[in-house]
Amino acid sequence: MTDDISTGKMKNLSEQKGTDRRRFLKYGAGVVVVAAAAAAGYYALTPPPAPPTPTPTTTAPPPVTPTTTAPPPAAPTTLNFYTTGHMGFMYDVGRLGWKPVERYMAANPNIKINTLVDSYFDVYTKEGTTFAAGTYAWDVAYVWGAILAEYAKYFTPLDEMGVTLPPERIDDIVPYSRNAISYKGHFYGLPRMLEMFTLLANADVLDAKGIPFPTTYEEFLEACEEVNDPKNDLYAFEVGLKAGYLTPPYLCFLHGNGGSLWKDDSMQTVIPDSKESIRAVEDMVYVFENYMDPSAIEKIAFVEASTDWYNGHMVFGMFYSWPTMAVTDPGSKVKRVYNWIWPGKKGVVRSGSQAACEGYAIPRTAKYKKEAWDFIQYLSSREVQVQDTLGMFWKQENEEPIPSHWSYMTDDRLKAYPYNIIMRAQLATLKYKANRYERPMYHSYVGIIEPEIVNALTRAKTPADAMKDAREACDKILEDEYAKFGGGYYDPWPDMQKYASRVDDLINAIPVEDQYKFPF
Amino acid sequence: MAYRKRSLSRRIAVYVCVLLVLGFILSPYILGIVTSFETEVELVRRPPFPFKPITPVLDNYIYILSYKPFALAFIDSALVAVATTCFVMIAGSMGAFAIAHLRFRGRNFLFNFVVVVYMLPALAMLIPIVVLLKELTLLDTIIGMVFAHSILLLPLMTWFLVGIFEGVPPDILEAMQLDGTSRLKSLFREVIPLSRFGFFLILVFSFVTSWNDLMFANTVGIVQVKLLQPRILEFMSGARVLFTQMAAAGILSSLPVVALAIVLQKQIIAGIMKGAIK
Amino acid sequence: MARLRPESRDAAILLSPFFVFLAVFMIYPLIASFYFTLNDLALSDLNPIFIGIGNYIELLSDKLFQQALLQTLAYLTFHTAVGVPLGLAIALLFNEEFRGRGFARACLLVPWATPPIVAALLMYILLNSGFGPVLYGLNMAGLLPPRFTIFGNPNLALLGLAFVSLWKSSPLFAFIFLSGLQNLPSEVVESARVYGASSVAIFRRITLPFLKPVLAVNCILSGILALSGTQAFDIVIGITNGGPGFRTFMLYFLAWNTAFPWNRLGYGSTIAYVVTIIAVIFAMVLLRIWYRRK
Repeated sequence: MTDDISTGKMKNLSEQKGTDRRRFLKYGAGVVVVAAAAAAGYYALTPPPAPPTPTPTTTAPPPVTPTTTAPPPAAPTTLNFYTTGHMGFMYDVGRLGWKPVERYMAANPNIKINTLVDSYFDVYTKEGTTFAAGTYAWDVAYVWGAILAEYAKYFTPLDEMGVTLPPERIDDIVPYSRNAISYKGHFYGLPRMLEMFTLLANADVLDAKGIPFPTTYEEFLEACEEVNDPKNDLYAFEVGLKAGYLTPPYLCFLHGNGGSLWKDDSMQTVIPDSKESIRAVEDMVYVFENYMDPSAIEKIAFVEASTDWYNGHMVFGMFYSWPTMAVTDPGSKVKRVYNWIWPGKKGVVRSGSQAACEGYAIPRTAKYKKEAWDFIQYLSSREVQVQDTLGMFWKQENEEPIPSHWSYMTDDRLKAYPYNIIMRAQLATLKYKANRYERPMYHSYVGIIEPEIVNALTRAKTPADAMKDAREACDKILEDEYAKFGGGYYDPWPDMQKYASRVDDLINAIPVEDQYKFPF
Repeated sequence: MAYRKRSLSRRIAVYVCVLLVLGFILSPYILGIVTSFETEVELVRRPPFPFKPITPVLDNYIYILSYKPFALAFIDSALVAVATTCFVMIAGSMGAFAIAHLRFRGRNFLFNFVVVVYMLPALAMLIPIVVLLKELTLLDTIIGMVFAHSILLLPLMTWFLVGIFEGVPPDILEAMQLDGTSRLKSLFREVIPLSRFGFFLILVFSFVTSWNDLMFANTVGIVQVKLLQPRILEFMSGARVLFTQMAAAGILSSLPVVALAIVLQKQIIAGIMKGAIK
Repeated sequence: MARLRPESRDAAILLSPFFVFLAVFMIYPLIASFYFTLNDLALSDLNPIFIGIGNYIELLSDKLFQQALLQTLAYLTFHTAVGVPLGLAIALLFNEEFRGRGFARACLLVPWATPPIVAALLMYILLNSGFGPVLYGLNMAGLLPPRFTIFGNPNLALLGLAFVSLWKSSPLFAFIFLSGLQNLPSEVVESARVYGASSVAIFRRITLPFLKPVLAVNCILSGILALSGTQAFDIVIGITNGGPGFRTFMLYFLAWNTAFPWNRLGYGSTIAYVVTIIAVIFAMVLLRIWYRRK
């Protein structure tokens, strides 16, 4: 660095100024830091105010009969409608071209619906972070029982909006579907569908070998033994066993052993280590090792197994009934399907399953709650749900269900539906123990139980040890759950017996060829 | 040029190894491209490609390209990536220049602080950042997303830039000072052109990081801002995992970043050479 | 290093956007997230219950945390101890002269530029046991035991993920090494060769010492990528989701799972902080080694 006389002069002057400037900078920087720290402290110590807990209205407002068209609002409103990828019918993926959202907008020209879609596996976290931020995002949001149970504080219960569902309406909703949109006695929306896990079989393979459709678990194992042919790439059974959606298959094995995931005590303790549960896991290990493609452990539920089903790679499948729809596709190797209840252990129970019920609710941050409620009623209406079932086809975005209301199921179009062996199988399953144990912290429980089942499947642990470890972790989660949410959830076994004769009538009203009729 | 005796066997060995390495690097891509031209049901049929030929179909690409949200996400991601890159380069170079060449109280502390902040887990700060953005009404906006991505990038890029600026000869800065130009002007007029190779490195790194980000894209973007990586996740729907479509979407969404990296690779090399290594 | 006259005013102007951004977007989240670790906090209601260092104490007896810690360290070690030398080997190879060298070098950046979920997806397609060609081919050749899977095997799944991460990182390391190698004056190598030095000796005595700073950079980069980069998370969630069992649970993934699906934001943030501590220790250890040798 050169040192010039002129530079030297400047140095002195600027040094003087520099000292002043430095002081200024020091204080300025100090102020900024202090301000930032103060702001940080303020935000950290005062989180967004917790939403008020819902209080039931003391004076009962006049019951509101649900309508399917909205009364004309003053100005055009845009509703943000958040749904999942597998509910494609909702956002207009339909074989019959029956587009519910479009129709609604046509019938209500002053409403525009903006549909947003995420994968089922991402919705839970997405809703959590969005609600926690407290920002306006959606007017109508997807829920199922566990999501609603955990985030109930972030949704608006209907009674807060002055809406009361009449008892006939509530009774008309299949009890499992009620769980999807109610929590601790309050309703938050309406259900969109109902789906039960069933047993599916490639009918041609069974018939060729003269094997009857199994009515007990033991018969199922015998059938598997007879059809299993790994050398020719044909496996007896397949369902995805990767942690992430392993609970539904597990629950079928559990219920088929006469077990229950909740204990009948005041805490509704989660008991993965019950003897029925350990037996169920042992059964799963046995089936996996003897009758299943080893790659099943890398696959999620039926999500990846469905294409194997289509390719005729397995004989039996365990899932909701829509894979039956493969028969509608000319390229499918599966031409005929038998579909009926998952067989339980002989002398223990006839069947056991799990129920998937989803619906829509209104977040607290919604802008247009009245319009949102109208739209939800529309989505839960008979026409939309019947069309949804009729529109079933072999397409990934459309995991087709059956309607969630008893009265919708008597629709003549459903009776005449060519694939109504699905209707019969789904209805039949309703007569037996089937639940997904939806409660707060559901994802924590299954987040432990599912990997432990995988530990048993890969023989990293014995089923007994794995379930014992699972129980240990579940007990801790239980404490946490009670501290956060209190207790008192819905009865896991809604009185489906009350509806047993109704179910029988419905099933008998659906005509199918005799070969598709299986015993209860 | 000295003599280079390369025996034939050595040359063969080199070529074989190069082919193996290229195979290792490119095979997932080649498979991905093939997958994107298959139908779902063909993909899982055994024997798999390359043990059996496939009948290529364009369905997946047609579906992706006609799926409006995907195109929108593509544009939004590009917008965010470009804006993030600009912001990081400007703010980072201003800060790095000050740290590199100006003496002020707390200079060392600030430099070390910047490095430590980079180590912090973005995950732990996710919710505070989301709440903060919401309070600033920047949640679910492009600007908010740019800031979120900048949090990931600014510390490291500033760190790089300090190294680059320190490589600039001081005589030039002295000369500018004699001229009386202000620091700011000298930064933009002289220093940046001299260290342009480093800037290419920053550019590519920022763009790629922003484009590839999933965590913030998924959390900060809700309704108005939907970026590309979460779109790809959408294909793991509850009903089926659409591998072939995911492959097509994946290939399409990697094209810009891969192309950018390849096109600018010479500049990046020069940038690393010249001074990013500090 | 150049040192100019202290011009604090200019420094203030130049630093201001940077500093404001830092203060608002980093200091606040930093303090807030640290505050989270001192609380029992859930996303479902955001009512913090102050518990001091309760979360940190709980870590000590948390078996899953310990398992994730070990798995993370194993993954980190593999990623660095195998990835960086592999990168070096590739760089040396690509330093040779051969046809298509430019193309080969360009390919080095492809894995790094690929979005991580896409990389995870592509590698899953390649390596799964259902329809993946690699395992199918090996099976046909009779080289595999029956019912063999990588990602379904508790003992191999982590290795599989490490391999995916290796695919993503070592070409990047190679690229950085290669850039460093450009600086190596060829005359030195040539004269050494003329004097009869073997390739190995040239490597050990000339190349390697020359590349020391690059080596350090790559090692630190490897640590950061393996611990908390998107690689640690996106690849896990894309392929194994932490399974089979808990065998591919890594700390960053555990932190996310705990904070979000398992609804324990405070405890999850604590785990994320532990990741930071490890990263800092890793970096400090490496810098120590490097500075000492220098």
